[in-house]
Amino acid sequence: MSRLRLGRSRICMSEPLERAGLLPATTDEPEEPSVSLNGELSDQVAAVALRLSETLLRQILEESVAAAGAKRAALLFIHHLRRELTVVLAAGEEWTPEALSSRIPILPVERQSITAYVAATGQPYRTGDVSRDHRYRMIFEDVVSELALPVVDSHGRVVGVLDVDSPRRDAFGEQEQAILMPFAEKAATVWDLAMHQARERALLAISRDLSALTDPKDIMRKAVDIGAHILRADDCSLFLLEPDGKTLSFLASHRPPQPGGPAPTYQLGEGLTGWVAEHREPVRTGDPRRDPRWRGVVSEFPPEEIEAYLGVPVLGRDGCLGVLRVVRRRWPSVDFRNRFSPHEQGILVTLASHLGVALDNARLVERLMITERMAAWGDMSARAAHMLGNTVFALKGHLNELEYVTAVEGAHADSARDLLGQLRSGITRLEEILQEFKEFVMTSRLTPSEHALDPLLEALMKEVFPRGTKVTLKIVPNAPGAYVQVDVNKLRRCLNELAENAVHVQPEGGSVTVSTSIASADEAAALGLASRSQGWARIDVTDEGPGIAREHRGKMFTPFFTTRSQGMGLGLSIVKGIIDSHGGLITEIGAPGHGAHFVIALPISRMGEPPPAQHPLAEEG
Amino acid sequence: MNRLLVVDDEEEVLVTLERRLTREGYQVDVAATEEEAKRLIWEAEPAYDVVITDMLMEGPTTGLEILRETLARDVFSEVIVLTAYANVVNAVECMRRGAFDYVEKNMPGVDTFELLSLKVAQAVDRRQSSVATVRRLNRLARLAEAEGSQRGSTRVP
Repeated sequence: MSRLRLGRSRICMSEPLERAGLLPATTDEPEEPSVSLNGELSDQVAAVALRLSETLLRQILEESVAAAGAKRAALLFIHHLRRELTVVLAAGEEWTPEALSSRIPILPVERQSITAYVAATGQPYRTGDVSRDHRYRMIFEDVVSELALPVVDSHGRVVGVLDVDSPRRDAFGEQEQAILMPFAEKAATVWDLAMHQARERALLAISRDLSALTDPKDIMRKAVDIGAHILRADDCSLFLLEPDGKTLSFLASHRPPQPGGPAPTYQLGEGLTGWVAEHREPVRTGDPRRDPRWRGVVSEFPPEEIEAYLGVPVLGRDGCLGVLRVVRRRWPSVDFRNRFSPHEQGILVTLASHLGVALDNARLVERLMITERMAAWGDMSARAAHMLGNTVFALKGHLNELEYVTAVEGAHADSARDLLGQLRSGITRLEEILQEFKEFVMTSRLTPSEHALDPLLEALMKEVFPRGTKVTLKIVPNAPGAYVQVDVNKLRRCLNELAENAVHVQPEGGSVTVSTSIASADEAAALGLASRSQGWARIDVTDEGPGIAREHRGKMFTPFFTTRSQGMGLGLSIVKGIIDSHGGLITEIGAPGHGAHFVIALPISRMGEPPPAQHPLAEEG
Repeated sequence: MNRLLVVDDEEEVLVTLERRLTREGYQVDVAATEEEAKRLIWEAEPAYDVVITDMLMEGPTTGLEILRETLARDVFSEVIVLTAYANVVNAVECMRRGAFDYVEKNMPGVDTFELLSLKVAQAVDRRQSSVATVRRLNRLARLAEAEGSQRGSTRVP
């Protein structure tokens, strides 16, 4: 794909419509920064920047070819982590896929090729006869002259190389070099702007992503990955302040941390990182060993290999939460400026502030969840006490009566038997309450097997639908061939609960409709389901009762929520637990006042021939 | 025959209490909801002697509501509050607002039914003595009034 698109840049040379802006350079511009334009360029932010600037950069290349009278032009960017130059765009003739995917390593000076030399030194390079030039590495057989200019960003760092060639001897002189210089500068400005825009987009996406996460561990992992990517750093690490407010502990890093041993720690004020936490100010430096605050307590790489260090405080509502830091490695034997710029410091500060807010949020959410869980347990003990208490109370009443009846001379065996029956049913009720508890706890333990959905659903519904009611049951199977992996007993329990609820809300009679279907992509998306190749089966259960009040919709699936005075209020939470355990989803979408409408989505395990008509539960025994 | 009303949302509680209290010789009505209980309280003629109500039914204030309605209908009716699990704060609040007593449904080792029939008997006694006291007071008041009017008449020229 990358080659295809790069290839198109060659075609567009003879396509003036596109240059005139009449044709879009890229017709399908994806918004996500994770889309890589060039497979060779792993840096996601750079990929976005390249997409943003592709049209303009290509134009610059085409103009360079024309202005310098060259045969070809190429724009190469430095891939910092791989330490090589990559062709990102090309113009002119005879570009082959191989040429377009050229990767040029940046080696020590004496062994550098022309473009690598320009990238490493920031100096232009010109040759009029490549056969006499030891730096020349052949890509095209017809090249005789080559001119390479550094593309330098606004912070004075070389980001790439503009390279032109010609089959003529001494094709490029002082004049051509002077003519092309503004093109290289223009490319640098375009690239700067595009990078700026891409980083801004990435920061926006980050703030969105971070605020969507609730697990602090996920947030921290995400933040260090982003930090490394967006700042082209060799590593990004996060240290958090312990509750004692004195110790900074290592929490996460982009590269896998050294295995074994206790987590490395800093004391507040110790080393560069400790200083950042203590003073709540960033530190940006080149070789950290030259900084008097440096102690080398924790290092991502051997200290002599670290080229640049940037650490910023992570601030939360109640002060400093920790330190986010990035480092770049030195390029061996290459004198190459690779320090962090003030702009990059600003980016890391922004990332750290997003991180601070996200961590604060996560801590609040956690506290809230604990409170809610406590409240749920409170609700549960109240309900359990109520239910069990009343049942036991009635049992005691029966015993009291039994005592009375048997104490009387010539006791009636009939009334004693009657009381025994009532005692027995009271104990059964106690057991039912305990059963409900057990089911609630056991919802996630499944013994699934594969079934064709339609016949299974029909059989289960007929089995569980309450008898002797004025409510009629309609079954509309419409998912032929869809097979699902389900625990039949658990699914039976779900359908039973939904059927009983539906019958309960229609005491004067009505109907319950249960239908199956295969969810379309739009339906799946509307339900918030992840897209999967096998798709989703849906089961719709509708009734003609009063529907679910809007204020109940949010909590109807939570444990111990019930609008009835009897029962534990565990029914729907058990149903949700079971469906969730199947990797499915249950939701209620009915309009209040127009009957309840439950939707269950289950992942389809495979599509196949509908099985021959037989009782689908026959093998279940 | 003394009239009782038993209010609880659990049918088995109603059944057992009705049976036990009927055995004691009371005329027992039952109600499973707050609304039904209120209707019966106002329809009963004469008013119930004792109303036994669960503390918590549809809402946390059911017990207090029934207590209020009962006393509004007849200030000398007695109310006994049942609690399914000890909630001293609520029970105390009921007592403060004029309940006769409260009984925990589940007290380990206690035969709540015996206890309750004892409490009901006491409540009936108190109601009767209250009513008797009021009657006596009324009679005294009437006598005093009659005497006063006689005395007054002598003064009138």
